[in-house]
Amino acid sequence: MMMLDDEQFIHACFKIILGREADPNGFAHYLDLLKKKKNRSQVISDLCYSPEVTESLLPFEILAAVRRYRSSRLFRLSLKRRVPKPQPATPLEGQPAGASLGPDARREHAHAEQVRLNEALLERLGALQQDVSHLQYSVANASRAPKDILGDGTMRYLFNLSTSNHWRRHAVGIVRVERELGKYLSRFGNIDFVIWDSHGRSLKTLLPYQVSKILSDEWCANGSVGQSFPGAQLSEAAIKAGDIYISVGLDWDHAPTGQLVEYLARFGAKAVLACYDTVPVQFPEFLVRDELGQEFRQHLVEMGHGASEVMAISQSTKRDLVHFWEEAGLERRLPDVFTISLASYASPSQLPVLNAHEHQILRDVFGRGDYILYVSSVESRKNHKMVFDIWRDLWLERGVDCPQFVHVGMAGWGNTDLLGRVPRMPAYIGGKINWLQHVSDDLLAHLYHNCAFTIFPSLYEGWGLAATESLAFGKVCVVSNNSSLEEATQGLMPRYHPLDFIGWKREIERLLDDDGYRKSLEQKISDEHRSVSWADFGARFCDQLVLGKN
Amino acid sequence: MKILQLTNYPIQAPSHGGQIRCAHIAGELRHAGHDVKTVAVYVERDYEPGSEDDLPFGPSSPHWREDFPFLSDYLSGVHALSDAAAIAALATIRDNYLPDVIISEHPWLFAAAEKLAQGRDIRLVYSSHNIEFRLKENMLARAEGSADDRADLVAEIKAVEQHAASRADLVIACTENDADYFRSASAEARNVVVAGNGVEPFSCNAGRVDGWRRYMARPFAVFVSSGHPPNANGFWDMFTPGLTFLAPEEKILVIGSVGHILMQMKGARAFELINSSRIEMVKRMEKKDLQAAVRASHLILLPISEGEGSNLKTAEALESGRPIVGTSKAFRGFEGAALLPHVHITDDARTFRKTVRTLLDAARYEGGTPLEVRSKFYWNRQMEPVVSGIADLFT
Amino acid sequence: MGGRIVVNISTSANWRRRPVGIVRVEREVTKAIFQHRSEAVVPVYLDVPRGRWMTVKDGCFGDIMSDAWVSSDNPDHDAADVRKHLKPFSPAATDSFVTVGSDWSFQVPDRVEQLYGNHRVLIPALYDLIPLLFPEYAPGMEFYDQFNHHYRAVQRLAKAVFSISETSAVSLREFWESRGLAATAPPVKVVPLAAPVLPAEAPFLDAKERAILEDVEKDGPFIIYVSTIEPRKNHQLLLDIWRELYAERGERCPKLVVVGMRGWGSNDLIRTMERMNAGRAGKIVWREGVSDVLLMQLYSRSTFAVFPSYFEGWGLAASEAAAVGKVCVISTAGALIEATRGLMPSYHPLDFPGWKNEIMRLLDDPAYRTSVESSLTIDAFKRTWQDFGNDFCAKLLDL
Repeated sequence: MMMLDDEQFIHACFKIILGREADPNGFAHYLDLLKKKKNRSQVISDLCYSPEVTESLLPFEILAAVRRYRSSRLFRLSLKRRVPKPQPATPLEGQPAGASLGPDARREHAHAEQVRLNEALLERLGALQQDVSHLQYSVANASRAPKDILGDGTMRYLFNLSTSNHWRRHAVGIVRVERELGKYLSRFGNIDFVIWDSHGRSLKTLLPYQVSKILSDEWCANGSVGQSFPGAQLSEAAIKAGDIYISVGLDWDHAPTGQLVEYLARFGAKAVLACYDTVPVQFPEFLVRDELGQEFRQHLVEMGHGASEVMAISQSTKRDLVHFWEEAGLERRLPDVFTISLASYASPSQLPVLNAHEHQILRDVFGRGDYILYVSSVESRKNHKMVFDIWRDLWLERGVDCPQFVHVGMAGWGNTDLLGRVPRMPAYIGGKINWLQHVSDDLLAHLYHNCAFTIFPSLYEGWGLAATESLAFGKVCVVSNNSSLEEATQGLMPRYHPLDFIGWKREIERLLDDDGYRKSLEQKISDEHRSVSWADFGARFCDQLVLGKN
Repeated sequence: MKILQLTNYPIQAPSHGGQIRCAHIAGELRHAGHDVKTVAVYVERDYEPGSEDDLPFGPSSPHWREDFPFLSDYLSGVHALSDAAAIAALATIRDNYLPDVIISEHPWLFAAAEKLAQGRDIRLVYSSHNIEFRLKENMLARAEGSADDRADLVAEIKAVEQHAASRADLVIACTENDADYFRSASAEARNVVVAGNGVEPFSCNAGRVDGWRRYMARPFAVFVSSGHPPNANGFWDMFTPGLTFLAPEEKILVIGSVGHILMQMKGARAFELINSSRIEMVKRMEKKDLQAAVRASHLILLPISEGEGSNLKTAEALESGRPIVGTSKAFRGFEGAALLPHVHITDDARTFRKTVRTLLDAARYEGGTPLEVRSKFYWNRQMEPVVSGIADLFT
Repeated sequence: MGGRIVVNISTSANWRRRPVGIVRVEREVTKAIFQHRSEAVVPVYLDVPRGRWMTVKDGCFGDIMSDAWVSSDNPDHDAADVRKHLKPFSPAATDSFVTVGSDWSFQVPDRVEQLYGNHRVLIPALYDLIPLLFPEYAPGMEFYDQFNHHYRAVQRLAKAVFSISETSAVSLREFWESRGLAATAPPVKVVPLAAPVLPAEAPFLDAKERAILEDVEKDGPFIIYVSTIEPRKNHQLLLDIWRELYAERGERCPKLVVVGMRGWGSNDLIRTMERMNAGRAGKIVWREGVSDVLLMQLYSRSTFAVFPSYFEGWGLAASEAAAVGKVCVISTAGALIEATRGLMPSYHPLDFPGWKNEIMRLLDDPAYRTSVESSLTIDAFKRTWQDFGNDFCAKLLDL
């Protein structure tokens, strides 16, 4: 395949995959693609996923086409899942089932037979897609330098990518952390990436190209298509005593801790796990699924028994976790808990360009006056109710001079009554309460950039990324004085008990009315706030793993 | 002598503690040469009759109360005393059998026994299993209904028990503590003997014991109990807040009908999922297999927090020779055994859990319980005071 | 005064149950006026389907005012009885028209205007302006519109307005002021309602009520809040406080007893109440459908009561607690301070630290609690309905 020139290659692809001659438009399109990107595997991939193939082609025509070209010496297409090596063409091996029947006889076959063949085709197309990915990866990495080694090379690490494997949309929170850490660790040669196969109850090793795919941006793009890599088709990880398993994702869903620690114990391997917060323990009333309360408790207890080390994302979470274990009475030596602060998402060196729609939204917000921003899903724990209470009073006192409250985030669950009342509030009717949803990262950057300041009055947080983001944008963020928000703002920001209405209102008024005060706090951010990047996070994590400190 | 034994349940096929005790009392008295006839006034929906003489009690009686099912034994006594057909049937039995002694197992049928003995030279024996009014009071405290109503019932029950104790020619108590109560001014019994519950020697197969050890794969604790709510509550009281001190692969083997209610108790809820994952439940087991499972355990749990009387399970645990972790209530009547090195007694949940944890981590104890301790608890030894007490009634 | 006193008894006529709230007020006003000037009283009834005012035959009027009327066994069915005893009504120029029911729902001022033109004969009531001031605390915007329309009509047509509190009176005057209607507005006169009265002899509780009482008391001290469960009543504050108290005190956390029916807009709150750690541990209990007798017993056995409502026109529950000598921590918004003569500890309804500290102090410092309780034995809490009636007649009718 590699030895054909571009035109011949395109013709071959059309004949093999689509079973026809290349049409002029299609031909020109792919030729152009090859001239620009020189990516032949991309061409194969695009054709395989074109609507013509996935929707309309009858199986026997493909198989007949394959048969017709078996002797063309163009290339060797493996129908089993092996990596095709660039080699001189050899005759096509293997004979697909049923190909010995002529097309006429095939047409008279039952519909059921066609359906079966359709499914077989799709499966083979899927396999073909895998092969293409694998091939792309090999081609891309053919000349890469050997990888770094984590530590002195005597340790082997297994990083659990189960959560990322299953998450096919915009990644936030815990999923983001797993992805970022995974990306950082992928530079090391002594790290294997694994997923938990719940049927087989074992860890399976991902192939390098699969890891690359999962950690690519396309995997999480909105509207991305395709399945997660199924554990059943991968081989079991070969685990030995002293190996270290790392899992920082949504373990209670994808890699149940009890099962994992039991499994690892069989080999004498150790587990490094993560705790983000103890919300289900402290606030069971805020759980969508009641059962999660018990599942989470089980997860923490199993972690206490089975982990050798646990990463907490804040000192506050560490305290809560240790307190939970003490109250639960595990009667054993508890895992060491280390703390690593999370990174900020924002890289606000340059504001992104907005599309027309986003620009309109921004214009509309800005047009309503100075605004205070709260970025958070709308759920009871996030305490929007207090902010609405404050705005009730601000509207009564200031009328049209009342500032605008902009809150960005989807509606979680359990706030129907509250959200039903807000539209009747005079402050809302006066246009001073503005709820934005489905806001892109780009628009969010602009909202941060243009706001007066932000607030984060959550009843409880494990970290509080929006607060960190706010500081990364140089904006003051008033935070709750409990849990982790003080850490998330590096102790630089005004703090109040999350339900201290009087305190919060006074602070908001001061920040609104006293420019000097606000500027002094912004200066403090500028002088003292240290941004943490994901690279910093990854490096600290590795220090902890290797040296036991960070 | 001819002895008529009145019970609240048929004892021909004894399975629960009360039946077993009654059956052994009858058995040892027969051993001693007496003739024993057992007649039950039993709750219809709970038992099959053991003989034609047994009298059923149920919703058709005006004394039945659907709202307090745990008072059915007390109410059956009221029924036996007031229902004309029941009275007549019992009188017929007396006239045909002509007993010298009537034993009332539990106090409920004592008044009926008294009536049968009126005007005749028949000795009355009250064979107690418990301090009933305290047990019923605890159960009523957890039930619904007005406090006055419940207080009235407790008072009636207490009176029935006192009456039996003070009027019997002989009172048989399960423990010294119970005996003290009966001798005290609250009950005024004249003649009390103490005869604790007994146990049969283990006869399980060593191969089966090994089988259980393989099946459970790791050192395990075992809990054997009936479906009596105080037993289940005691379990969770001693393990509060839950079975969190067990590692993911470790399990407690729970045997008996307590399995039907154990996970429904309030104490199971805080760590419900962990608790279910740490329990291996077998609701019914044949006796030899039960012995094998118990022998296979690393230790036996006796977390009894309520009830008087003596505990068959304690005797069985000692007989098994396995280490025991239990409460002081479990060892009432077994004071001699409390000092043994493999017996650990505590009423504090924290200590209870720590002790179980330590024992599970330690090597398996194979020292057993000395025979002179165990055999004290065999039925023939335990029932000696009953046999001599009844013989003395006619000297 | 020479003219007739026309009294609108529609609410009383249509209500056959135990009279509370507005019904009670209408009955007491009617009885008081009748006591002072029986010969001048003309009872009227609004026949809504036909849109006209009728008067009620004498015998029926007496029946309606009797106790038997409000203890019907079949209240919904019997409410229609009055319709058999109606006869036509004609207005007279020298009438005074007293109407103190929930008139905003029936356009009463407009209907009075139809009879009397723009002569000021109307003497209406003001309970509170909550749907106007806080439209988010009414179930829908239609209440705002009703109140807006009603109080503009009152401004136009009333001779004088009876208000249950100074707080409400102030809010009405401010409403008129803000709409430029103050210059021609009628006077607003405050006549506080009666305080709850303790029964003379020991109360009788049936077995079920005794069981409820025991169940509430069995685990130790409890704090009580009596109110319908709806957003304005601010149960949320208490749940937030109890979340912290339970986390801090565990089993020693006191019990919060919430007595009241489920109102609108409270599903999320009730769900939270049941699922939070304190709720599951039995430290927050909810009872509805509690009789007056049992309620007074619950007050009496409580350690103290709370009333953190966002806004109240009066706040009967606070004075109920005072009547049995119990402290009631109240919010500073609305008329609660007025209703409790400024004798109770009060905090802004959202001042979480203030409320929590006060609750802990009243729990943990019995000497402090007793000192507040001892200040509650004053005559103001002993105002009877007779006092109210006399006061009403004097202030609104010069009787």
